[in-house]
Amino acid sequence: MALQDDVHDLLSAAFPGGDVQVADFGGGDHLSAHVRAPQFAGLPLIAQHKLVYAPVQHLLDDGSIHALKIRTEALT
Amino acid sequence: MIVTEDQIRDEILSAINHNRVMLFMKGTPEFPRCGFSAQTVRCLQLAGAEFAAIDILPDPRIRQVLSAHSGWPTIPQLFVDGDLVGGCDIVTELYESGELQKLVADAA
Repeated sequence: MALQDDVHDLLSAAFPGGDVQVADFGGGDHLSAHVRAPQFAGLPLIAQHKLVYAPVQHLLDDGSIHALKIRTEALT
Repeated sequence: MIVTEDQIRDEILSAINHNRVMLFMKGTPEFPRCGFSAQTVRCLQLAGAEFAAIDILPDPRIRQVLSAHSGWPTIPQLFVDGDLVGGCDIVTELYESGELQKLVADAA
């Protein structure tokens, strides 16, 4: 399975009730994630992005993901 | 000279505590070695920020120690008044909303 799909599945599982879109912007390992989720409500951006990093941390640590652009939106 | 991980940690913490706007990046502000670092520098410059920068590339332990301290996995990392603000995406978003300008002005 492509990395993009792995990341999509990991994030979707981490944000039940949310909406996750993952795109590849170069070479399969430069990814961007747009996550809309109720969990973000009231959190500062830094905390929102940390929530997105957490489920894919191992893929960043082992170098599978070279770059991950993140955009978050709180669903209310 | 052999540099220990403790010395690296001391250097990092000292840089964060002594510079109100502190950027850890790949390369230097004049010669960024990564597009995300370059974009973050550009946002800071456009926001009129005076900032200090450390290049994390010379020793892989800098990044390991920094990320362990900040809980943030990627580079660049921007700190203002000792607190992690975020990486390239957050800095860009804050710049576009005008909040970065306020943040670095308050810190100056």
